[in-house]
Amino acid sequence: MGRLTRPHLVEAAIWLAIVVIFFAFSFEFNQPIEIYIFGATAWPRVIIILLLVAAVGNLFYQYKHGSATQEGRVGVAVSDDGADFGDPATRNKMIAVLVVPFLFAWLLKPVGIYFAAPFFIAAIIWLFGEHRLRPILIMTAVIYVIFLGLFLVVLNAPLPQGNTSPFYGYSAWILKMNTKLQGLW
Amino acid sequence: MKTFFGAVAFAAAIATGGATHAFECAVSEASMEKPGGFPERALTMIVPYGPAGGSGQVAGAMAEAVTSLTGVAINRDHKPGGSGTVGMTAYMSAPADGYNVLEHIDDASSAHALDSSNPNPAVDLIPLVISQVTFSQIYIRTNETRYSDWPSFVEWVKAQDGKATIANVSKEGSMERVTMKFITDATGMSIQQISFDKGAPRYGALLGGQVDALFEQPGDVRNFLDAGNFKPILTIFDERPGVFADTPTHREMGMEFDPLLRFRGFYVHKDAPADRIEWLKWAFQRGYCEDSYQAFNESKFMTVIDSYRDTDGAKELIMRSIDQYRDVYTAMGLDVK
Amino acid sequence: MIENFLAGSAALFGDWTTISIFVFGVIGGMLFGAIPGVSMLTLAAILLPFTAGLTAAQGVMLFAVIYCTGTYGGAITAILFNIPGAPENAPTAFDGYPMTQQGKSGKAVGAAVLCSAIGGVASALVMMAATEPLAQWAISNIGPPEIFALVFFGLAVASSVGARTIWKGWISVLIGLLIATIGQDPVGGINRYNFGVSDLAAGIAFVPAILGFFAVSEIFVQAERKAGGTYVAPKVSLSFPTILELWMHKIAVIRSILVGFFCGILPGIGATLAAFMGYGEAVRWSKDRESFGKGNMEGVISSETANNAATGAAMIPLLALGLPGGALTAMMVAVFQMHDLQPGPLVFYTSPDLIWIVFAAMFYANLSILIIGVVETKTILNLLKIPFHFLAPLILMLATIGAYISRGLVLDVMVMFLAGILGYLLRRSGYSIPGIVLGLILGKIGEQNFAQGMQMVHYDLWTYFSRPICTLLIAAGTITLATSVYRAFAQAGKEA
Repeated sequence: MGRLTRPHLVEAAIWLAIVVIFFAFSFEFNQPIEIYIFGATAWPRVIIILLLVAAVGNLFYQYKHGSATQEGRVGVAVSDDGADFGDPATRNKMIAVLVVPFLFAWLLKPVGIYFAAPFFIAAIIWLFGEHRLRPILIMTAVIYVIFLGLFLVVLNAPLPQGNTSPFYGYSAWILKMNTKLQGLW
Repeated sequence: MKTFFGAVAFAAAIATGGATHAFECAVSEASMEKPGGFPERALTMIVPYGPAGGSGQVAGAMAEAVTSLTGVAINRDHKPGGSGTVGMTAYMSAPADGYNVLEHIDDASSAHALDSSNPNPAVDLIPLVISQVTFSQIYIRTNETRYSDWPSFVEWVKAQDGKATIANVSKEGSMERVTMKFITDATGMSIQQISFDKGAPRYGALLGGQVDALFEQPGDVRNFLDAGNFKPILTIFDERPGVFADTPTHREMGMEFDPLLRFRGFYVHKDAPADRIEWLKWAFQRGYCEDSYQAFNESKFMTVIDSYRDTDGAKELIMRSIDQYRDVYTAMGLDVK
Repeated sequence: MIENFLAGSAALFGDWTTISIFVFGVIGGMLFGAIPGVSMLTLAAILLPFTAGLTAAQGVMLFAVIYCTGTYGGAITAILFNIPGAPENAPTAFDGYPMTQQGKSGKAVGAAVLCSAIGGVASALVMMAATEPLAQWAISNIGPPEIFALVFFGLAVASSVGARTIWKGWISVLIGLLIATIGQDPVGGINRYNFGVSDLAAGIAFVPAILGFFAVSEIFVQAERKAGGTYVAPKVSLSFPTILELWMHKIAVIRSILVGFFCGILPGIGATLAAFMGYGEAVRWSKDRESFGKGNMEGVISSETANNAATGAAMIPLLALGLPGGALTAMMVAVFQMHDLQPGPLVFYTSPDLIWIVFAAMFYANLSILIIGVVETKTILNLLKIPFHFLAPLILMLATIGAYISRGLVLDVMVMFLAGILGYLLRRSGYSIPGIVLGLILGKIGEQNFAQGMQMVHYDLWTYFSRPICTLLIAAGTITLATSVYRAFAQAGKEA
């Protein structure tokens, strides 16, 4: 096994899986383009092959040298103060930190940002360690008002309004209030 | 050359304006009461292209005109990508309450022609107005010495044995690529099309001598025409528009095909409340008459042929375009669904 | 030229509305650049509809000013938070963030302030003197083959910095290139890698990707530190570098101005590649290569000089030919067109006033980075005093809007959070996040120009390499690659 460790093998497996999946899916659009002999597949397939070569090279390097940094490399990010994921509470919290934003993004289409934002803000504050109700409510309100004030009132930015009832109705109400507010000056 | 479609009457109808059109507003009512207070907040206009292109500009000009006419703000929501399909999908899933309107171009018609699961802009949507209708041209550099007009260009291209180049858009089955196919079939010349998905590099390629010619609509290259950098050598339209009186049409050059046109317009979902639709029709059709919009169309060469279609006129234009594209795609052997 | 410049200055400072817009642009650009989660592109995209209410000169000037100061503003967050405000600030973080960790944030920010100003002012001067002839030269001599060659060179440089090994450098860049193939292919408009999601036809945009890889992943890293009890608030220092310290890097500054200018002038390439190349060249010519990435001020100097030097250069093809080089310059075209104008050769004849107001404004905007930069930086530094559990939701909200606004797609918000997770996982394993981002940005440009180049030369490589600039750039890229491969194997040989 040389200096290979389990994470090295997982890493290699992920790159190889990407190579296989992208190569397999390239047959879906493997149609000729009348004015270009290489078609739509040549460029991605060359990248896939190079990725395969690099992934194998990477594995071979790790087999020889483990995770050591090559001599003369510059700008390498150093991050060695991570948490101990052996603790289930820490692990669960971190999983929640990663999942909550994704859930928020997924809800933007049906629910819209105006309704979803306060819940998201409060959830993030909670996940980042503030568990007292009062500060959570106050800061959520502050951030929500900053968001509405800057992007809706001042800049009129077109943001997702949701497309299901009653959330779209709530966004419509917010926008109507904004129109009335702007009618004041 | 085989004529793919029998819509000669259509082409004739389009070609009613050879010279610059004298403008007369088709909507007489200068104001219209808001139905039930609608709209009581800003409208959202989904634009399936970026702000800098032809659609982004026409959306901006129309939004400005409608706002100055009605006092109702319009927020433009640009959703570029997938040749207009991404914006169309987003629009179709937005609530049909009249607050969401759509800008789209003839690509929506050709997309439906190729695959009928895509929305039909004349059936699934209600056209409020089509405010730009234009034709295409072939351009060369003004200081070009190897050829100077269409016949000498064709002769030179044939002598290059397939090595001459023309800059064009990148989408297979698009109006531009289909038209180029008509031209090469009709003339028997072989020319390498270089695909550019954005306008600026396409124009830069001709300007810098990277390609030998350019396929484009006149409004998009107006500054290069005004600056004397480019000149048109072929107009793909049934008559010579007044401002391009010196440029021959494809028919004059012996190419018997019906021209495909570029058109841009505004739509609302068919399920929106009927009274709101009527108000929107009035606002957008009357917006077309606003001085600011007319000045914009003038600057884009959009007044050299009749650019205006009301709802019925737009439906007719769209349905005929769909028929045209369907015939063309079938003849090209594409998988029409 | 001087008369025109003075006339432009007089017009710029002639009425209060124009002055207010200028000041708004300077401060707005810096703020949006410097607040983690949003960028100058966010501000520009939101402001675009409002420019219809301004005069053409005011509108274009506003965007030009935002471009200059926003490019600088992004350096602040790169240095303080390891969150580059825009892709062009990514290399600034390589050395800037380690300097912050060492308690030298003031020196890094000071260097960024001064070098952004120097690069920007130098570029503005050249822009004023040479826009027309340079644009003519570039348009005739730089075609798709040259642009592809430059992309190749840029990717070779990107793969040689930021990752732990040459293999990881290449994997990073290749992953970026592979992500860039999602969406319609640039030649035939054929949908690739949709995986059943119709919005993917629009492809993966770089704005959400960079927000995810840099801003969101940094939040996740901090969350982990919070959870693990290892969170340390960033150290703040306000001791700026001395003139002597900066004078020692004069060669790096000049080199970066040249690199930045060359990259900026080419359509579609712009400031991002300029920053990477500026950084890469600084490393290549340095006698102390090992210190790069560990807090060498020359790293900050090189990338910040180069990216601001690119801003003036990017205006050249835009103004002289009507050819925008990047997202922000493309929006400037929209501003022109909203006022019935077309950027291009005619503008110099029809609207010389506008051109010179814009030139003057860019000059002063770069100069004002020096003054306002120092003051505003102190304000921004106060952000560090806000408890992170309040700062994090604010940054995530801003990033959500920043990701959504440019294309109006919820998909982009999802991509951002996905990139955040990916960045969080990858950054501890020695891969180069900036390498992925540059691969993503240059992937489509590279493919498109490769295809166009091949179509133009009829797939004949001999004709392809008969273009001298193209050959030169391909050779430079190959040498860069060969050098890093040689180093990798030389080390392996030594150890064996």
